[in-house]
Amino acid sequence: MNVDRKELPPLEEISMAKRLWLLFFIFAKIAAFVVGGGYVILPMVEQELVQRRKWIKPEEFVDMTAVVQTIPGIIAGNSAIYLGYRVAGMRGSLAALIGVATPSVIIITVIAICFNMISREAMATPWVQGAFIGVKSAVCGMVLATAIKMAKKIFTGAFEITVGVCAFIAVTFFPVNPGIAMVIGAVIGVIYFALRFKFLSGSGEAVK
Amino acid sequence: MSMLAVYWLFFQFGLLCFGGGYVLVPLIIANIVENPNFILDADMFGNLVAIAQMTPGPIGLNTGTFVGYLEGAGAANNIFTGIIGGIVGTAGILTPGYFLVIGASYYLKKWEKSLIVQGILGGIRPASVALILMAVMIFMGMSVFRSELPFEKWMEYLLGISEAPEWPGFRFSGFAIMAVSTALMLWKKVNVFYLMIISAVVGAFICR
Repeated sequence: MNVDRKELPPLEEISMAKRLWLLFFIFAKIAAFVVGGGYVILPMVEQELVQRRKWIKPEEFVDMTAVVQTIPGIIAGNSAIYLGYRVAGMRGSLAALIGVATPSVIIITVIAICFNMISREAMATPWVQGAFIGVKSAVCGMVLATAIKMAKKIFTGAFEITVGVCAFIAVTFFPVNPGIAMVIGAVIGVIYFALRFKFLSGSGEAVK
Repeated sequence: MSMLAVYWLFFQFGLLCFGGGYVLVPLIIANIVENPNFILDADMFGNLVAIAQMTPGPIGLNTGTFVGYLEGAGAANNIFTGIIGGIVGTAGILTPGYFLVIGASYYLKKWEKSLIVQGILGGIRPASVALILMAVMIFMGMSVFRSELPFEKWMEYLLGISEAPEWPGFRFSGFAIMAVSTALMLWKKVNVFYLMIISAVVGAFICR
């Protein structure tokens, strides 16, 4: 059950053609197993590209997660584009993107063709429903673990904690659009960093 | 609908879709379901969203492929134009993100050391953790709890605007699977694919 620990070659030793193929294959494999939406690909991608292959640095993964949520679009698609671009440039982003879209296109096309043939009763049996609830519960845990790991890296000071807590309250308890919350976060960040820079450079301290 | 019209419509969805695939649902209702020029009606769309959530693949891409297929197939239910429609719809949703993510990735790297980029990342990193936690809450409403968690209604209750909402039913089996998967992801290197398959089997037996 453990992820295999044998050494994989570093990114520099992998040829371009192989990188593109691996990007396509990794993202297709992940998309084919994701049940429940874009956030579920985050723990999977982290495990495959950061922990196992070490193509992406942990800090870069954190930044990717923040950036793709600020930009409109499908989170899974945007993550594939960002990471593919970092691994193998423009061609890499296209390979990862085609990979992430292929399972959806194939599976949904088959379902759409048989749309009227699907037995709704079979889907509604307690066994099938139970299996879906089981997977979704596990997904909650996986995504929560990703959030905890990210929080440990990000929440290093009072500023970060304040922004995080305010954003959570805004999007969960109030009908604030997540994209708007991210843009507000970016503006507050720029103001804070500008003020800190001004304050610290005035007092002669080095800016981190 | 011509393929170009399907592409253009989904391109706009991709551009407006802040915060991931879930945001697509209200966009599709407003622009396709309530527009008599399209085949899709409210009843079909309800089934379609349920299928898109249960099948593997990001929800946004699944919905895009599905709606694209139905509009491509048209009243004559032509499978060939349907398949093209599915691909065109998916490509349309992903196009805006492709250019925006690559642009963002390029400039963030180029101006990595600048105060503005530092500020933007400093603000969106903590906010992104908040958004992921919100996604966890949405998933919990589908698994650990028997209905959606009414955060906004709780807030209205606290502010004295409305009555206290009904407490959503708690599913202990779902909570147990979630707790185990969080712990495994945090402290043990477990393969996410095996974790999903095992929780589906366990869920089929214990989640009711």
